[in-house]
Amino acid sequence: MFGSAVSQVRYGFGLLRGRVRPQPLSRISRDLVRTLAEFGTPGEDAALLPGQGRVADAGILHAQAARGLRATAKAAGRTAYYRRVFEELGIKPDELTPENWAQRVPVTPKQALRGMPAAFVSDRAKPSLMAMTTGTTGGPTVVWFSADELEIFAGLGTISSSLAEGLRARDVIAYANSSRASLTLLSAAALAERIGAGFVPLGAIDPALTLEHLAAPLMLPGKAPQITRLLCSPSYLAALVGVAEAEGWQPADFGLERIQVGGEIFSEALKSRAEAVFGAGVHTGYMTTEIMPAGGGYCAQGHLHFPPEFGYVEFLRPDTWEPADPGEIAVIVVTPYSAYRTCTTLLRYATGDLVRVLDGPLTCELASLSACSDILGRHTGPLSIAVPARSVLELLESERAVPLPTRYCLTGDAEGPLLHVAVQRSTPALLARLEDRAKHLGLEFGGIVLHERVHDLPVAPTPLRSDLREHSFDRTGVRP
Amino acid sequence: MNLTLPTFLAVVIYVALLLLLATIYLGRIDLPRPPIGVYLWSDIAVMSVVLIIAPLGYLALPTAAVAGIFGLVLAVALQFTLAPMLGGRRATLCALALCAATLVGWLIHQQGLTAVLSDLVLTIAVIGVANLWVQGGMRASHVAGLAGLLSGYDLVATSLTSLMDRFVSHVDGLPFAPMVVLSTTRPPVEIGLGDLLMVVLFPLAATKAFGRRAGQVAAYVAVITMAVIALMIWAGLLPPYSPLLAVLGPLIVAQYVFWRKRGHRERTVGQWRSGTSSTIPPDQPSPLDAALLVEPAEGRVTGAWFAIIDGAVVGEGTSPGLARRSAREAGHLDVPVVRQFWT
Repeated sequence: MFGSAVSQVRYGFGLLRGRVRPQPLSRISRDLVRTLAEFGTPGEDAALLPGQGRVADAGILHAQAARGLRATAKAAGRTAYYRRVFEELGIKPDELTPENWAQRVPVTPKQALRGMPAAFVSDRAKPSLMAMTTGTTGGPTVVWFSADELEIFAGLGTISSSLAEGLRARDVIAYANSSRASLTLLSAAALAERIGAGFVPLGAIDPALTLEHLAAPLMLPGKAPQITRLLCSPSYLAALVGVAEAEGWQPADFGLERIQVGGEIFSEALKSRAEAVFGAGVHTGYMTTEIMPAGGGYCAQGHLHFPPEFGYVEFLRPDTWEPADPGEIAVIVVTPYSAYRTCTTLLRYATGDLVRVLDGPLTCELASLSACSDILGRHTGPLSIAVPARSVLELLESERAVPLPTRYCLTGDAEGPLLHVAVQRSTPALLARLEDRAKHLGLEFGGIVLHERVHDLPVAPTPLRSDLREHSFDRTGVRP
Repeated sequence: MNLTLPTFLAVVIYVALLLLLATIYLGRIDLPRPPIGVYLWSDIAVMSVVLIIAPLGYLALPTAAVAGIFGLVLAVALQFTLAPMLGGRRATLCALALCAATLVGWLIHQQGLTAVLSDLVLTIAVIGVANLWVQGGMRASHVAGLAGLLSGYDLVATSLTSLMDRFVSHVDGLPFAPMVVLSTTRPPVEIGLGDLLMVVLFPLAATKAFGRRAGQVAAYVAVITMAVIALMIWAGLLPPYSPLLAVLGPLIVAQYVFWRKRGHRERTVGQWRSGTSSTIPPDQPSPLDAALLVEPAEGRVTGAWFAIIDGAVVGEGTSPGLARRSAREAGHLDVPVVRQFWT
């Protein structure tokens, strides 16, 4: 009790000083787990816990942003990349404010980080983990993290998983992502350890095998009889749903209670199919390796909200990097605050993820937090804005005759794009259904072309995380 | 203590009433708690150190400062104890009014009024603090550990040294002095705040940890112990200032050991509020044991997996998951044990 109070005070002082230490955050997360074990729920004012803030006061938000941006810019001055940028543009971190931030500091493109990751590492950092993105959008991007940062992410993850997702010691988590997604893997394992939950690192193996693992009885003391949680990417979930539907798996075969997906566009169509086949709710959030921990979460109305304590989020036009107007499609640009990020520092990092800027005042429960629409796709040019990937997935993933995960590509220009889709059997009926549904969704294609082989698509489809398939010896020794 | 029969009865009745009120409060009032935090042994160690060092510190302070510290602490305790019943603002006003009245009584030299008001303040504070600790997750084992430690300390401070005598003299007649005064005779009949807290704390902790019966037993033990000690003082077998905790502490430890040996485990606050039994259920035969006893049918040691429920094979597959699915397809919705047979 006394130790908890001291840790919370230390965490608060850390925020004021602009540098969160891992120890108090770690202690807070472990105390939260103890509290939940003792009482079942947190006490009053749980919104005061790290990452749970619901700050509504505009003055406080402005002061928080001013302090965070200035401190992060100072920290960025200790990296080779920003040292040079600051020298060239005459930027003095002490003079930066939220008002002049966008005018003074240039956007950092993904290619800059990908091209020279070490140039973004602070001179004072103690790099520990080379985390790589999976690279499905143009090759892996390397981001270095320190041991302190990993500890901080584990603490924040524990708090968030315990409070928002209800993860408890009786749960067993299956991790069915590529082991290349190392930061996610390590964070998931660390938070499972802190909460006392079971952790099953399956990897991205053959979906048929994963289904068998998910259904396997465990019979362990203090644990649910089967795996209760599944972490995977949307495309891998799509692969699981495809196999489960084809092989006749039923919700009663599994003990799943919650499925968490992330890292790719996740359509409502896939969500409803996955919930039907697994009998568990499917949830998602927004996070990328580069901007950890400044991700976002969804309100009940489906807006994507960003807590103000972890980073500064902007929604910019992809062509000019000017602030997008309400209703426009924009790229998410994030500055993760140095209070939580001490190794790789990024200012105005262009994630490439497209969203629509919300129009009108918000009425949701998170209205005080910065918000945008759900992720629409990834910016790859005018076509990606004219026909966002989300719309295509909503169209294709709702059609059971289109194999999961869907493979498609767009050709032509933004005026009359052609949608090419890989299907098992090309029939006029299927084509008619897709055309009708496209019209219903307001998607205007120059045409839809069905191909019975993926290789026949005129352009190689975007790689998916589920393509990073791993081998397994599960079948070894079984004599049919 | 300068005991007469009425004051003896007053001691017993006061303690019994205090326990009754504290128990009613425990059953009806949910005290607020911070977002995170449970009591750990490190907290008990800190509390023990503070309780042991505090009297020495108070002796070094002027009496007005001691009264001020206790007044402030008790005002806070009154506020949080009364707040769930009266609301925050009214509780604050009530706490300030009671403390102010006590102070005024002392300033105008109304010894009886000061004692009555101080007693009222202390009584409410003891009920609130004991409830705060127990509802805040303090375990019966923590209380037993604290009681065991303080029993030795009480013996040393009260009987083997003059520390408690000097402390009592130091705060005698002060408003908010940490002792309930049941008679203002000379010497007065008083019960120390620490004693009262432990008297109330363990029955509440035992109720939470082991159930209502354990709480009732703890309450009876506390009242009887108090009565016996008062009787012995009355009979001249014990000195007027006697260490109650030296007797009650070991009894608390003994009760804790008794309930644990009787097959009870401590309930968490969540389990107590949901009415979960503290009794450890008798060992049930594990479905794993039953599955290990199943013998394979002739020729079935193939490396295949078998789903077993209640000792019977209900499904079969090339993997644990497929065996479970096979059982479900055969109409068995319960999760089976899966195993392979080997030679």
